[in-house]
Amino acid sequence: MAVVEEADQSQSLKHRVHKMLQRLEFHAMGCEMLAAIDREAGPLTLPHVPEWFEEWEQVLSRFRYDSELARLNQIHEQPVHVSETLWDVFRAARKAEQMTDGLVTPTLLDAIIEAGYDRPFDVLPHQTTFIPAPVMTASRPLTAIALKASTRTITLPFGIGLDFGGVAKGWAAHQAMKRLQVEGPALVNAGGDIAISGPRADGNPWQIGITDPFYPDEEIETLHLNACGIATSGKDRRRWTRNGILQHHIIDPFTGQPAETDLLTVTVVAPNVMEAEAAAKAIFILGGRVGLEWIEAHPNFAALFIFDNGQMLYSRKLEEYL
Amino acid sequence: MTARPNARNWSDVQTAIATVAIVTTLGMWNLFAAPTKTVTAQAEQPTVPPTEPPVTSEPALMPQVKIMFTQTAPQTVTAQQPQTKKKKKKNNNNDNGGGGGGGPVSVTQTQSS
Repeated sequence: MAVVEEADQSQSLKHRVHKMLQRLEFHAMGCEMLAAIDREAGPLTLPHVPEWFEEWEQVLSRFRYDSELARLNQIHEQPVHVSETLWDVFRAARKAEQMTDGLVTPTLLDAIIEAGYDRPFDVLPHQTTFIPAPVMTASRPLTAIALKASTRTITLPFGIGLDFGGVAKGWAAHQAMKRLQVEGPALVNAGGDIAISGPRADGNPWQIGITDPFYPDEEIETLHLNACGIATSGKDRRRWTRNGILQHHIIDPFTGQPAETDLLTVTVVAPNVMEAEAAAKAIFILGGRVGLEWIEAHPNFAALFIFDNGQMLYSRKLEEYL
Repeated sequence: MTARPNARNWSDVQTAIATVAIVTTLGMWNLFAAPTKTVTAQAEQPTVPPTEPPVTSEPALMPQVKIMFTQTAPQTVTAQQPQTKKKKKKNNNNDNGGGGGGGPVSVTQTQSS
């Protein structure tokens, strides 16, 4: 009942409580979020999930000028003591960079701004003609950044800014799921990056739909998942036009430009959502042919490719989840 | 009185000079009048519709060369499972998947983030 009362007080958060699956939908990090626990009503932390995301966003957002990340990006050649949250996300970003051989890196801040993604996507104009100053370097590896674990300090060299992007969202979904799972089987969906704690209360897997990029109101496939992470990357949503050229938010670190690829979207199932997010982005950049080789070389990963022409390609392991 | 010698010859010379002058005049006339006629003819040509289709030349035969962009031959990517499933509407009613006559529905969806 406490949850229901909480729901009544928080109509703006679209609280929706059900007999078995308790769900909470809200907006954070520029995305629609969902947190769910598969149990009947009881003392819950579910209503506190938006507060967690607000706290994390205040640390990790590059669009908030008073965020911890924004302050860090303004200080170069000096060690900066950072919060545990920022430190953890930085480590997650470093793992993603290592796993993808540098394809997914948070050091592309200048490139993504140059492409036109310089404000939250909600308020980003769909067409611009502004021509910014050219960026001298596309990306630099995270190894160029000096770290000191004992003091939890980060020293950014000149010319490097951080944008955690999808890594931060995946990390937040994973953290929220870990906190919720003590109360029951939990699922957190952060704008498409989904963390799942394990089977549902009745022992069955969770059914997760994959949105059809051509018909966003429909699902193109349904997966049955237990403990794992699932994420989708693509150019079907966060895109805009600059100087008449279509841009999107996934930057190829080797060109410093939005990745040119034959893929429209890539959905990846991985042991956790952070790996799924990084893998989906890497495959998207690699393109269909090389991406297929990449996914088949990683036996713990499964993927669904959707090409520009609508063709779908399933990795072998994905059949386990159909 | 005897006729002056060479009188006939002088007449012949005059005739020859006149002939050369006339021939030269006509020759020069033709020489300078001909380009004008040609230009005029070319200018008038477009107004006459062609009566025969233009002749197209046969394409030159290109040597049979395979251009390889990679060290290995390109492989055809084939879908391991073609899209044959019936699409389902998104679940926006927060159904938890139990009961109902419409069958189980997804708890949530993944999409480009």
